[in-house]
Amino acid sequence: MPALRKPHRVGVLLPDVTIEGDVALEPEAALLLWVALIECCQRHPMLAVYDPESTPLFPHEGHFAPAHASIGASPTDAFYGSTRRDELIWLELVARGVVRLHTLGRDGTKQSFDALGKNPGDQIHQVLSQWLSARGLGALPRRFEAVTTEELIQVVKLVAPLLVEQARAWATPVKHAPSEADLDAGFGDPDPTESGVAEEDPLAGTDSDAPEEVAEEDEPAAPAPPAEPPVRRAKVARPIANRLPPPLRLAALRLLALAIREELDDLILLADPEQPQALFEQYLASKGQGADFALLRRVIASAPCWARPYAELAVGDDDDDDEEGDAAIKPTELESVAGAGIAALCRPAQLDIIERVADLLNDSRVPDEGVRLLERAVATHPEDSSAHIALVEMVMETDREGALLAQAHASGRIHGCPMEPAYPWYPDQIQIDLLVATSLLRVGRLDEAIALRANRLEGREATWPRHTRILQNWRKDPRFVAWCYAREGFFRGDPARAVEGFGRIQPDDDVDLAVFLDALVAMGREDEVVLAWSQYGLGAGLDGPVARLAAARCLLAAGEWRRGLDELWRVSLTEPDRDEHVAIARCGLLLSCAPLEVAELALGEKVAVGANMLARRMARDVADFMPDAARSSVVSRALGKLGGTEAEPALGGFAAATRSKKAIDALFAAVGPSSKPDDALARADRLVNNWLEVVFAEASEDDPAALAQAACYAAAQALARYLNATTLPATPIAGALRTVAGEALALVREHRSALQDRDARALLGAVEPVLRRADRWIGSSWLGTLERSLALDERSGGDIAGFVREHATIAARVLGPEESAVLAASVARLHRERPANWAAAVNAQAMQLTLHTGYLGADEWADSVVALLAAREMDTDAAIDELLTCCYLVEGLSAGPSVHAARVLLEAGRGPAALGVLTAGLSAAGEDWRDRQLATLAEPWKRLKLDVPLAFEKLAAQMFDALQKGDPARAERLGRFSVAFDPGNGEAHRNLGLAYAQQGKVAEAMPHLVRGTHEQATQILSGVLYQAGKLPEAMAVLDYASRWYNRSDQWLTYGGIAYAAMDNPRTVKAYALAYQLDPGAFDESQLNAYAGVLDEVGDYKTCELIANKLIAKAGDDLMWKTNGWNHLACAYIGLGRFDEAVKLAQDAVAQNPLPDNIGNFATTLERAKTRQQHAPPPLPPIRQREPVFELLEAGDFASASALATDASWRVRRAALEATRFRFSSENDVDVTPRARASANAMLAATVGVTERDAVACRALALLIREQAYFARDPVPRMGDRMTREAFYTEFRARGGVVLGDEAPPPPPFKDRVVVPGGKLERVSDYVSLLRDLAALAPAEAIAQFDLDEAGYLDVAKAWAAAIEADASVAQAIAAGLAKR
Amino acid sequence: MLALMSGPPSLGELGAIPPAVRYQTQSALALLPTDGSVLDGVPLERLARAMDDGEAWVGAAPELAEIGYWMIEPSHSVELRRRGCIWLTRFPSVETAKRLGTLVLDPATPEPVREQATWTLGYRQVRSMHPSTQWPADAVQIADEALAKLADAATIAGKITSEQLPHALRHVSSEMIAAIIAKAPGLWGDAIEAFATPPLARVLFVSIADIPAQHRTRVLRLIGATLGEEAVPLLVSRAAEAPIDERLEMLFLAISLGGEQHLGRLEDTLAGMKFADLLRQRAKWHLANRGVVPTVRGLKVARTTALMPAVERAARCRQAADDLGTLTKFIRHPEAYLYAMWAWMVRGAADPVRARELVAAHPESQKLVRDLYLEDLARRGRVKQLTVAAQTLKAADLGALQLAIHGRPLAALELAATARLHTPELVCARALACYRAGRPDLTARILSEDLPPSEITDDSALPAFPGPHEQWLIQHAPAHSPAIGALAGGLPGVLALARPAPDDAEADLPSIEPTFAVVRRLGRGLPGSTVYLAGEFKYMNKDAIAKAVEAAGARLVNGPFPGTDYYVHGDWCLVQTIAQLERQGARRIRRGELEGV
Repeated sequence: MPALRKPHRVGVLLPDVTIEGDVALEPEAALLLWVALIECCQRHPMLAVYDPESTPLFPHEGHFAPAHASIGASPTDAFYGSTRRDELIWLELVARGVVRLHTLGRDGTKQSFDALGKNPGDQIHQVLSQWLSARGLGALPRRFEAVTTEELIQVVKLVAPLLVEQARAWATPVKHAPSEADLDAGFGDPDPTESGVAEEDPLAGTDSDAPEEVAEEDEPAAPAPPAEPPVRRAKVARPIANRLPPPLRLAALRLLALAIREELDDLILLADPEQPQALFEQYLASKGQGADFALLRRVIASAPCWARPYAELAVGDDDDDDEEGDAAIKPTELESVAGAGIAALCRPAQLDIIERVADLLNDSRVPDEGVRLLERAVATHPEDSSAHIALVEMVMETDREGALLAQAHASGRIHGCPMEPAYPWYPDQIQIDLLVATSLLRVGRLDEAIALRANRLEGREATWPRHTRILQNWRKDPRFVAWCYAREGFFRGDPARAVEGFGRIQPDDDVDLAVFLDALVAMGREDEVVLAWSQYGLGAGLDGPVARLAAARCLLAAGEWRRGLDELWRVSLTEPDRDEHVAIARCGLLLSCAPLEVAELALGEKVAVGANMLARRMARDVADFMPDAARSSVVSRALGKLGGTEAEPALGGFAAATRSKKAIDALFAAVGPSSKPDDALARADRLVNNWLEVVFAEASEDDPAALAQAACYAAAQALARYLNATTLPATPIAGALRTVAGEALALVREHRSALQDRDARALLGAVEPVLRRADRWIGSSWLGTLERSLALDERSGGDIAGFVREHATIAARVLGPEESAVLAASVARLHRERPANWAAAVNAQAMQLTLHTGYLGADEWADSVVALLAAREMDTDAAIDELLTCCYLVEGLSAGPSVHAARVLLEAGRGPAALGVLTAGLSAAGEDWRDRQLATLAEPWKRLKLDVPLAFEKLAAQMFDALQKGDPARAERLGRFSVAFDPGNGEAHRNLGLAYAQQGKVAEAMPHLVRGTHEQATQILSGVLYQAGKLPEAMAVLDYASRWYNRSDQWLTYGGIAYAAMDNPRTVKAYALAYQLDPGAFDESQLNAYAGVLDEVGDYKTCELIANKLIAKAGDDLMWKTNGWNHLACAYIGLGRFDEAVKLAQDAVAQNPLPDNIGNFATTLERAKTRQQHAPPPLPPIRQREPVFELLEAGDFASASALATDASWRVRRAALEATRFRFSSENDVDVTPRARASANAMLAATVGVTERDAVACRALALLIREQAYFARDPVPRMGDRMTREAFYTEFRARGGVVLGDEAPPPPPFKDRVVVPGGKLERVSDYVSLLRDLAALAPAEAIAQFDLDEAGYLDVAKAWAAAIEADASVAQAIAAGLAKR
Repeated sequence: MLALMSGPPSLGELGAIPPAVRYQTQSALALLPTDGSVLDGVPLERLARAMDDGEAWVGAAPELAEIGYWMIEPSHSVELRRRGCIWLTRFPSVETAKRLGTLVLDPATPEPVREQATWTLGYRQVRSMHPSTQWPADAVQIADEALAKLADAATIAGKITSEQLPHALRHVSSEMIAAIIAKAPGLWGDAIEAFATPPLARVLFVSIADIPAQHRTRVLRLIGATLGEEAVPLLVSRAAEAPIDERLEMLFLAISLGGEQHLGRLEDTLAGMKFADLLRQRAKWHLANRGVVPTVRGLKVARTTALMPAVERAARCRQAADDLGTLTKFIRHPEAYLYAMWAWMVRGAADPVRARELVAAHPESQKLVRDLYLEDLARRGRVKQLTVAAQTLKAADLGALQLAIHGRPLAALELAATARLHTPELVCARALACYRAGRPDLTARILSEDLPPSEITDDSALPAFPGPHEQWLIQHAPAHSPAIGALAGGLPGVLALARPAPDDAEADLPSIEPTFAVVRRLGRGLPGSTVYLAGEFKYMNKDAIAKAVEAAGARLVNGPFPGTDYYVHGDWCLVQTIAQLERQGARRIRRGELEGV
């Protein structure tokens, strides 16, 4: 498909006009023609004219003149450079003479077009036509007015006096600045409909107990500072406007409106009902009553490349009705994204446009594109604080917390408040600092966040009421402490704290869930990952890319192969713009341990339903990473025909002196041919291990240009070889090449500003020949990454096609932000207008767009497939294949493709497949639309006699019946379709959850129970599992869920099930915690059970307490009373109080009303009489875990990391994890030197391994390496460390519930003799010496202790020996130093 | 033709500049294309680096201007010529002005070259150039004339096509230029800043409406500073009509120049305004400093530091720094570049206290005054703030040294442990901190076994510390790097840096843990470490050494990767590789430490 053409971007300069005999009129004549030329050109479908509002008219030497748009400007100058104009054009006009159009291109090319003619209007039209023709652009849709010189002069004479007069009396218009109250209300406004975006209050809405926030209108209105009165102008233009003759009337009106800034839209529309700016003003004026998209479309039709209306092409959140009439006129999501892109393309330097566009991109789930755009805006407008604010807010949307904090700090340093409060602080500075505070909070730096926010709002509470309220929440709500404790712990490298913190508060957004999942794995709790993901990811909907990627790696690490593989595919295929190749490759590494059958089954399912395209793409991951993939016929079939041959990459574009070239060449040569199967895994691993080291052969971190060049070369080697390898039989070497390509490109991206164009081109040159042979989808994904990593769009000023001109395939396929926008716009237009052969064009274009973006354009692609199938231009199998790809990519976002696919499948007689595709995709449909579409499926549905009804009521009823009849499998089948049918129906979810639970399908049950029963999901699930006789599963759910239990009833349920499972440790723990929370919550049976278990485990003291409680509670009920006596007797036996025990046991035996208890009571009596004490064995731990995890939990990272050479890979992984912990001194260090060294050692130690725990070690080592050198999301900088003690103190102080005992206080300082007979014997002496050495000059300090140099040296050596011999000496010194 | 193809002139002895700078410059020049081909890739990068690293020194050797003259020859590529113009910024002289003047006026000169030459002709600031850099009066006149011709042409054309010309003109105090600007003040708004003649100031005032809005505050201040009391009636009469920002500026100027009789008008304007108190304080300041327009006064110095004798600079920079900071107490500077100018004045004044004031008003400026700011924090015992700033500014070594000097040795060692490079400052910090942390034994070992690498001064080998470069610095510029001098002076030298901790300093770390990192480093244990075999191994048996490395429990790495612990010097190795390794903190495996070495 040939590349689509972008609009030709031009700027129009003020013409050079000569009027013989009337020189005084020349300036205004030039202005008039300038406006007229813009008016004419902006109607052209391919001309993006820089609109006159962007070069406003200011007085200059007594006349108005457009700012920057005068002759002498160039497309690369300071003003136009950032506007990305392809050409500047201007007219030269001599009255009664030649008219000439001059052009100046971006490359400096100058050209002129002359015309002779009967009048200037005709001549202008001629030169414009010549110019457009020379540029390959079509003719003007409306001709330039055939105005004569006389007519021109007549108009100028009318407007010139007024313009000159106004130019002289001109005053700067006042720019409206929002008040602080405005900012408070609007800035950072959390969107209540989305989770996780509530940037000021990340926990908002999660606590039903939290006091309701005061409504904005309830607050006393803050006194707003008086606004600067606008400069009032008399309505001076209108009288003249009414006298204007028809020729050039429109241009003259526009000129008057632009210069005098008087509203003349009514007159303009009279002159031309389709004048775009005037129409747009009408649109804006009526926007309050709802966007008039018909009007907006008129504006766009009138000026197809004018930026502003495109930025309005979005449907608001509340506009969700799906009436057909509305739908026809409302923009689709594709149109909205395309519009955003076109707006940015046409006005790339305009900050307000860019901000709006970035918001639209974020709404369409591509915040990374928004960030990119805003980074460009910040580079263009570094001094504009609003650009920084917009950028920080957009980075917030990417869920990259490290990047957010870094950007917030960077922007804060430039535009934040001065450090000293004595300096004036402005609202924008406060805004920035509030964002910094939020960013601090999001990485867990609670105290600093509060301090910063409080400092900035101090004395401003009245004007920033909402933000003040947020501050109060931060200060008071215990959940913030837990949340920050967890996050700070995680980012600091202390996963135990993350797990602990998230035991006090539930994960509430994608990042929380990712943190929680990773921390569970790090702490050896892999078995809980699947529950956590089911509950929060699939159930609570925290399934954004960050969480999903974490789920993929954690599920794979936990050995949940199929689930992990599914999540991996989902995130890698639907989120290509995030460029997560490095993280995905690590997942691939984990996948390498999976049994091949798992992948075969997954691929087989795709192939079986005819989703060959998907299968081929998915099989690539399997082929790259699973060592035995080459032996699998299923994988081979899915991969399709492979006809490549091994070839060396074309690296001729790189200079001979490219840094580290020799070493990199040698490294890749050492890998050898991929066709050689021997030792392939080890060779692959060695390549991954060593590439980064060899990049540094002739480069260093101090020399980013060299590093970028070397990394670029390594990327070229790896990517070209990888793409070639995708055409060859499967080998793990391909996975290694892919890993290296991803990592090297990430390193290039890190230093992209230092990368030279030549090297960027050389990398593209290496990829070009292999791109043609590789699978298109894979090629598209890597090409997108290349474009972003090399910053091709920024590098080429938007002219990517020009930059890659020498590489035809790349030029045809590469999509930068502007190319994507043009492609999206083309698809949207073709799809909406449906000209002849639209389907074929849309099919090709939409497929390219969808594969590039991961989802955008899939609806249109599916529509085109259906149209092509109907026209018999595509066969059924191919249609099904493409439709299933569309369905997969938009699952959960759009139901259109799934309905299309179901229809085609039904027509093909494949009922079960149709049901499957609808089950997966229908949930995204709106109600009315769904019913209409399903009605069209009724006939074939009936014909194929599918056993699932196509009506919700019937579905629900049959499902209920199936459950009642004990047929959970049937209930599951019906339930799955019913929740797709009505995803908001809690009852359906609940029943489906129960059906799964009855079958023991815990992970499948959890999401539906969460949606159906919310907070009670885990209790219900464990209960059903228990009832179904699946006790281990029930206990696993309870173990996992009980971390959030803070009510006695929850623990009592847990205790009851544990008791039934005869699991004493858990029973004791559960009842003890329930008792701690509420002793009164126990009923007699629970007290009875608790006391019994306490006796069994030998806790007689507590048993006595509980037995007494039971006796008291029993009252006159002999059954419980006798049980109580019996338990008390047992307790006394254990405590050696036999006489009392005998008495109680006798009473119990005597008054026992229950035959079942006879034996038991008699045994007790016998034991009491014979004074038999049994010594129960100590309670086994609830969970058997390696001691290294306990070290991590205890915060003993030194001891944990010392186990790095343990025989167990699992222990070694925990040891490696321990090296990541950053002490306070390492707050600003991304990765500790310990972690770097250990990671490198681990990589070396894991070459060729396939054992899961060993591979997990390797994956962790690769993660550490990524964070150290080319992190996509850098590790956040840390601040004050929240210790466990501080956390619990603060948490309790805020009213948080903490179960268990308080931590013991730190040991006090104890003085002692350490160096007997030395000049300084005692710790206190040594501490004094250290204090003096700091406080005084060194010589003076040692003299205080009667020491000279030699004596001091002796003292030091003696103490050094003592410290080395006894680790407690250092602790004693530390305690002494800490004592003030 | 022969001349066209010749290489750069030879450098000669160049005793006035440090040997490493000499070597670096020489190496970079040797790579430059002499055939007019494009300057890019490694040669460009090396040249850029040499120019940056040598900026503070090369001005001491005026003969190096010849290199610039050679670089700007028309036979060379555009980029090389442009770099030549930048090079010549360090060598203001009559000859330089003449050559650049010719260049800018030659229509055949490519635009990038002309732009850079224009800037060089106007640039009258010393900033970080060698203190001996000073424009002779004749050179100033020649440069001004050339700039005036450019300006005149632009005025006639009615369009400024050069981005650099207006900014270059901001440095120029010349009646000629003033007259040209007066012809089209609206055109030259960007060029008007610190210098104007009274006639120009009067023209500017009457045509203030023609000046684009973003330049007006600057222009108003210049009018006030130039005309003094004469401007007051004009300012007052115009103020009523002007937008709020300009109105306030006019009224403050009126108060500054005309006294308290204008306070009433200001009060009327301030009614209900948000920052009224601050603005009243500003008025008070103006009344106390009658006739002073501080930003203009400050800029006059900032723009011309290369015109004044070196001995006067520090004092004038101090005053200028105060001038440029004054108004920020009441209002932020409307143009961000003023903070940069302020920062350069603080650097010129070399005053840590002024650095603190600058950073307090504009945190981003800490980048420019890094060393002074860290020193100020250490002097005041602000341990935590210093640690954060040092990390942010990528100066853990400097921060650690300051902490060690000012009596916070344990914090110094902790910060030092995070430093990426093995610099003299880092080594000095460790040595001093260990001494003050009760471990003089470690200090002695650092000074004998763990000195920093010397700078490269030739291609043969990396000399032992202190090498020729360091010795040159000790001899000629001892203040440039006190750490080098201290290390060369041994233990007494290092201890001489020490100062008592300030009384109100934050406490030091309560743990001697940071000393253990030094113990470990000096322990030279191979097990678990990484080793790089550097260079070519012709006579030494590389395989045997590799085996010995593995037998010792260490691991070989494939490149001089950051974090590599040791290296084995091959039979031959690029001196740059060894320097890189040493700078990253890798230590050479000594004879006898490993079999085969």
